[in-house]
Amino acid sequence: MTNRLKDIVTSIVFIAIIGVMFILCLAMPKKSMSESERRPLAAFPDMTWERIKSAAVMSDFSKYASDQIPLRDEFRGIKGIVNNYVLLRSDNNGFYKHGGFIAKSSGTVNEKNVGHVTSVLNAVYNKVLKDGAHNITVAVIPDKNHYLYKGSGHMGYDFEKFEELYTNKLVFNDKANKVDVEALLESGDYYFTDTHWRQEKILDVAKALVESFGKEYLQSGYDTVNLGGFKGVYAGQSALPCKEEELYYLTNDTLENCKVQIVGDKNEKQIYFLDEFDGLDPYNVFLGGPQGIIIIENPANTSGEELFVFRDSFGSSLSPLLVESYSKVTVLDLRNITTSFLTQGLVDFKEGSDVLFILSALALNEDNSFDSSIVTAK
Amino acid sequence: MLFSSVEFLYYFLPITLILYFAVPFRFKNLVLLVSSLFFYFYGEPVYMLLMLGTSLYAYIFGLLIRRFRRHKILSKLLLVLSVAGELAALGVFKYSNFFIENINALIGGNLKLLELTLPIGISFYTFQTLSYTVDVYRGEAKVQKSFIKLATYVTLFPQLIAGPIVRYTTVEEELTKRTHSFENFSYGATRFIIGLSKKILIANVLGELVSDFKASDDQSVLYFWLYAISYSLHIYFDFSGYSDMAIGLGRIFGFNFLENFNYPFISKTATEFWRRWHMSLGSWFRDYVYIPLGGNRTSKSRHIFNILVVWALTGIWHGADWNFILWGLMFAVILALEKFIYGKKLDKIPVLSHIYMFIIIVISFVIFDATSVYDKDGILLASSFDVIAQRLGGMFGAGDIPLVSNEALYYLKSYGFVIILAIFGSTPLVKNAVEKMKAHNIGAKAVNILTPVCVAVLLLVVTAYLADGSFNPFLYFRF
Repeated sequence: MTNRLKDIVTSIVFIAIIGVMFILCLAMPKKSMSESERRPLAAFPDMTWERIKSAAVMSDFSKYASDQIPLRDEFRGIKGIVNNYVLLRSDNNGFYKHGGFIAKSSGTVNEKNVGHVTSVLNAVYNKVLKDGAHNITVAVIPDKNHYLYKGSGHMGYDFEKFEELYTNKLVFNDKANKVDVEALLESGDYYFTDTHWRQEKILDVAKALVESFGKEYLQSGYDTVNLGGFKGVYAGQSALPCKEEELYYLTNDTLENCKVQIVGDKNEKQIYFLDEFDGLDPYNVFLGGPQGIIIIENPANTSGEELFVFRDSFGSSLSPLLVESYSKVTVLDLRNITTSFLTQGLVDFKEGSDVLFILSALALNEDNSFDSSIVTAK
Repeated sequence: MLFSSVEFLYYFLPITLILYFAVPFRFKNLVLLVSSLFFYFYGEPVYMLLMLGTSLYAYIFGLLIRRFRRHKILSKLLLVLSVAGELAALGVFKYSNFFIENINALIGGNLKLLELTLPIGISFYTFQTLSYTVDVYRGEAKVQKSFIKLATYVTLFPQLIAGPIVRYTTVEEELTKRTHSFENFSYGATRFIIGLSKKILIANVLGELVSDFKASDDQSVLYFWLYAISYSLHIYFDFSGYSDMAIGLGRIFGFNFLENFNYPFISKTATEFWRRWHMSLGSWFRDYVYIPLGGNRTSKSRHIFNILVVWALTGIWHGADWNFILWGLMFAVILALEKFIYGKKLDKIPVLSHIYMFIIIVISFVIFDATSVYDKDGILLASSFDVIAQRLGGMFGAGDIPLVSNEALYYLKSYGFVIILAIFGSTPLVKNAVEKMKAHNIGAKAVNILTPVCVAVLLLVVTAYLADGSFNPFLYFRF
């Protein structure tokens, strides 16, 4: 190829790529959500003179241009491959793959966030539980990374120290039972591509939690139902190549006969939200995803025993496995509750009932959406 | 707007190219001017008027200086006024709060800081307008009677916000007559993509390590050295990558900007380093400060004084904080020592001189990066001196910190290949290899075939990184 031809071809290649991408940027329909990242995508910015003068329009347009770039997921996948296999990086945006599992490398304990979460939990205890003679159990669910980082050469923190840091900040620590969830789990108990644990693998955790209250763990046997293939939240966030995996749930007649009520929603639900499997986050099959307060009544258990579960998303798949041991299980997510639930008595914390605080290390360390107004609510 | 952004690559650039190549030559400067103003407006809507005002100011004074060129005192006065006015804007926006803070610290005062943000690129375009008026005064440049042409020169988006500092005389003729050809376009596109790749695939990646280091409480000697070496490579690839992009874009539009970097990390002396690093700034200070002060054609003490002044100004040009002044003065001392004591000996001991330069480069960039730390309310948390002491101390084990840590080892493993790639890429090995291939028939054909392939692959890979990434500003924007 002569120099002249090289110049022409190079110019054409450059113009072609820039030109095609320009046309695609203008012509391709815009998406409102990223399915792979589970988040809304930026829309075209509102244009007002004030926003233009303050450069807010330009800042928003930059986010819009980046979010709405054509073939965004495909490009992200290319970046993951180049990052990990060409530049030989150990992780892609903090995510790595080891033994088929996608996990997030995390070596830092965020004491400030742990402190924030415990201040909310302490406020809940002081306002509604302190005088109720409740039987309390506290447990922390390790992140998947905890079981993978040493073998894969990534970063992690001492889970035992983390757990101690957390529980020592709880005002009810001395009164609470502790369950060592970490010892009951291994990496294979988690999904390959999702942050969560597999429901079919945590029966021993459920048993240990119920037994911590001095009760017998009741379960009449489960049918394991395969909903089909899915890719979890880490698949999209990491942009690393991965295969679909199966999502199972455990059910039996008792669970199917339970009455499930989401506070604020008049319609009665089933314990598994099977329609959610085809939605943005298939894991929402378990108790419908992020819900504030869910009340599960089990007509098959007439003991009158009640359990209150303060949880995060891991609790969604755990809670159905606790139901058979109780007449009523109330599941609360403090990230999706306003202070009125305390001040207006939306939940009756029956005296003497069991209370389980079960949160993941991920939520404790990184989730800053726990509503701190609960701390000052009267 | 950043070159390394989706909105630049796939919105602004295609529209500008279409408009530019569609219009007749007599309108091309106007297209460049309007697109450059829009480019700047995108990042600084209000300060675009300041930049236009600076261009108009230089334009008027250029005409006046030329008009009264036979009146020595008047033309000199006009020059002084033009320089003072242009520097005044730079002084107010960039340095006023630095002076107020230091006056307050000195006298225990409570003077209120001005609520000003630093206009992007003000250091660059101010130096360009200064070079224009001074060169007109010296008779080295013809006065530009067309405001559009002068404003096009000042605001030209390829080099507007991060250089290179383009002298008016470099583009004087090209403003009126320039060549558009496949050769220029191809060279420009290739150079642009190389620069973009250096920025995205090396500089930004190493920038992540630098950010992680700063956010971490982990302390080990290894981690400090990892940070120092990565930051040095990061700033080189960031800045030289941006210069490549500027030169490439300039060539696409028919402008030939001068080179700004010439593999500075292979230097054996600091003197050589400053002939290879940010060459447009070095030559600017040489021609407009050092030589007018007398340069080296004066007494030894005056020569040393001139070096100190130039390097103090070079330091403070980079930023309004004490670390930049210290950085500049550090180089002043080293350059003086090389000039008067041991410079010639360094040339004769290549291995030791490279080790010498490695230490100087790394330490100097640690100082360069050590700006004062403030909290979100603007309260000073650590002065630049504290930060310098902490980081340089950490590099040499101060405070009994361990030699290695798990976090440092993890990042060494994670970034090791990129660092090796960057070290390799900071030398002329690749360029020399390509030149050797071109010297042979088959090699030349291979290079010609691979060039468009590499342009395509790199552009798509860079796009992949942009799709995945978020806002990532170019380092020198504080200037």
